[in-house]
Amino acid sequence: MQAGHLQVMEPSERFDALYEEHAGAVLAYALRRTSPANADDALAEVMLIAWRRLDEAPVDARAWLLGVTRRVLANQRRGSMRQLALKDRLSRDAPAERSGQADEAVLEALAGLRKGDREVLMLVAWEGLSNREAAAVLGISPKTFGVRIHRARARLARELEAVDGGRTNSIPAEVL
Amino acid sequence: MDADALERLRAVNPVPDTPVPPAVGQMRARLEARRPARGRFQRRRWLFALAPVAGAAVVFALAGAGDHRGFDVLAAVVQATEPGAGVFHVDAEESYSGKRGVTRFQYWQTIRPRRERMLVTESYPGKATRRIERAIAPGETWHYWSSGAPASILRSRSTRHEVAVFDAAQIHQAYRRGELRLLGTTRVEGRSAYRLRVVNPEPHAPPVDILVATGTFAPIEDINYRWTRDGRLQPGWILRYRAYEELELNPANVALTRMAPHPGATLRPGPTP
Repeated sequence: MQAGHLQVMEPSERFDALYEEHAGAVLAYALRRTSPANADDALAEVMLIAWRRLDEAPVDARAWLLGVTRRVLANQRRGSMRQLALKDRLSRDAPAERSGQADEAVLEALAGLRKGDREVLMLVAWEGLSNREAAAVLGISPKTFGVRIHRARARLARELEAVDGGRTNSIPAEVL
Repeated sequence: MDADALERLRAVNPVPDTPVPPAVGQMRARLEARRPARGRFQRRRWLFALAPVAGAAVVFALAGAGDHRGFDVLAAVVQATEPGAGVFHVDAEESYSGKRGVTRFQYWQTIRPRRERMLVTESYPGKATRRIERAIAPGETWHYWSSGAPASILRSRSTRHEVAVFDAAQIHQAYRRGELRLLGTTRVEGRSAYRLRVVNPEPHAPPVDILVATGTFAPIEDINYRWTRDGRLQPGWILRYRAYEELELNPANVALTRMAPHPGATLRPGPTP
């Protein structure tokens, strides 16, 4: 989207352009974090907010929209119980269904990280954002994001080593 | 190694290709349905102006007509859901409004020392029943078992405090923030209940209603609302409590917080679930 075009566009045209360009990314972001039904709701919520705050939307609106999506998803109340069930499905079933050659270990390792670490890794690895864009989604400085992604990558690697090691290092069950 | 881990993560992107969203015209129609018309909004401004008066009248009528004259119902609910010294027990079933699948949550917890056990049983039509069990023992030792991988019990250590979020946490937080409202009384399966509403301050975010028993103030039901395509609020996830109670602190009840035996399963280190 070109800045010059934006200035001469009507609000409805601006919204249409923003939607055409970014709705897919918003939907993908939501689908990676919640169920299809909730993702569909989230897309509508985000676009309603975008419509009402069109003047606040930056020229390159993707990071702004993903930040809005993140907050909308956070407000879809989900207890840790359901999240646990969701993580279990994600780490055990879904990859096999999708690709047929699932790397379960990396999903297990991801599920074992803190929520904040997971989010920064997913923004880079799954959303394909640069550090600057991902920082904008989280509302932090690129420098801070750089520190967080560095730590999260190290934690993922450690967790992955533990998971990979654990797969070949079973021990008999004991009385719990 | 870090780069390798990130590459492996990229390779398991659950949505590798950008999905196709609804057509923009379809979305605009959906949003228009939720956008109040000018006239409707102007009329609503009068309603908003009257809302505090009407709200006070409802609460006044409620306090005057019920058994709790002059009683702060919200404070009583907060007090009733404070963690106690016994074994906190919840048994609840969750389903999506109008759908047949059910997820059952059974939960036992002690605060000092921290022990926690949760069973999740998912039953959806046409799919095998799935069970997950997680227990946290003193010393921050976590155990995790899933019917998806029944041969393993994963063990880890973590100081993370991501305890199950039942109503108590949500009620207390909303009360502190002034986001908890008393809407009135209702009946649930023959039981008298107060209807509380957790008002989400985020614009356009749907609310959550929590129904609590009028006698014990214990939660009976959660209703998580969602917006429909034509701009109406309708129930989405509904959580119904079979039990929400504090059990006596004795060896038999404390044993309920321990991981159940899973014959044939091997214990191995794993990530913290």
